Amino acid sequence: MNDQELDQVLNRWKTPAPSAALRGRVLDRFPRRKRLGFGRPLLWAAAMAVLLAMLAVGMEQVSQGSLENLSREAHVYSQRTKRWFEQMWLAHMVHAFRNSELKVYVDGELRNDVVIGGSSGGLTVKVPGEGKYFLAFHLDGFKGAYTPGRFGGHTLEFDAGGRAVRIESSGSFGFGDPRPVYMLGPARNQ
Amino acid sequence: MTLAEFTRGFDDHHLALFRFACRLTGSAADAEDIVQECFLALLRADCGFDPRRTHLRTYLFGAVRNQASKRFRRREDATGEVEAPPDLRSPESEVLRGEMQACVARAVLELPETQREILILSHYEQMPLAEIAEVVGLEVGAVKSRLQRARGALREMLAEYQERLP
Repeated sequence: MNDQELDQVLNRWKTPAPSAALRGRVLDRFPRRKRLGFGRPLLWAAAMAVLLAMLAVGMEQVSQGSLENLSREAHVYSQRTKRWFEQMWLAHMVHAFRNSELKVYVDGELRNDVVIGGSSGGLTVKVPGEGKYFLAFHLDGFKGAYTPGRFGGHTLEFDAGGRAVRIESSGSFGFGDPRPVYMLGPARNQ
Repeated sequence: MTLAEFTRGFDDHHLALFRFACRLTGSAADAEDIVQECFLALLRADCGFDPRRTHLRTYLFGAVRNQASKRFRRREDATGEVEAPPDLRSPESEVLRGEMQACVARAVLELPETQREILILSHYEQMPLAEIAEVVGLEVGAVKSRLQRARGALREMLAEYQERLP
């Protein structure tokens, strides 16, 4: 039997086609974009904020009796409330990102030994042999040096001592607009 | 990996992976399970696939190979011997065709594991030797010699059927 004849015999072995349901079964398991809604705690917080605003305005009216003061106080209060809501939203987004399935690449290499933690204020990323980095999403109250990074909802990228760190999530968070992050550190021996 | 990338990866590769798994295990049901498992493994956080180092197709063929190998060993442990491929014979005019198909399947499944994998990738999937070497983790020279040995063994096993081909 020569090569051509062997090929001819081997070609007799056909395989069936996979079932039509296979595609759906696999693609349905892809984690869908997580839309973050206001949960019950945030609704309560919003209700409290409105109530406090009404109280503050009422007290101001009683004590001052001036329309000008009322307008100024209302403006200050609305600014504070807006900032407070933004911080709550950021904390919610950071929490969801941190608890999703994350892959960490350092200089393009997938690393399984990087430890990610943190609190509502940001993320901590501990790279063995490098130290621990803190990633903040806002700089309220912080005065010091930081390195800028970028958060795109699905990925978070920053430069850690000359090494490009990329954290990739299984989901997408926020409204898709890239936003800055601020890398502080590293703290050694932690 | 985005949904679009994942979908494109599935659409581009799942048929070839299914055929490969089907011929490695001799079972369409096992092949579907293996293909599904390999794609879902891509979504896990501990997945070792790195697009900068390996082509997706090469990685997936390697994953199918590992999964099929696990199942094959499990089955051997359970039964004490390699399970014969399904009897594809059917009545009337299909008898000869079915018999030949079953005979070819049986002959391929009787090859040593690495020879079987290399033969399937080379003959049925037309994969270049260099890529096969990457999938099975051998040097190109070793792949080439195993392929020759596999074809030699099949030539002997299938000689009598060649004469009966229409």
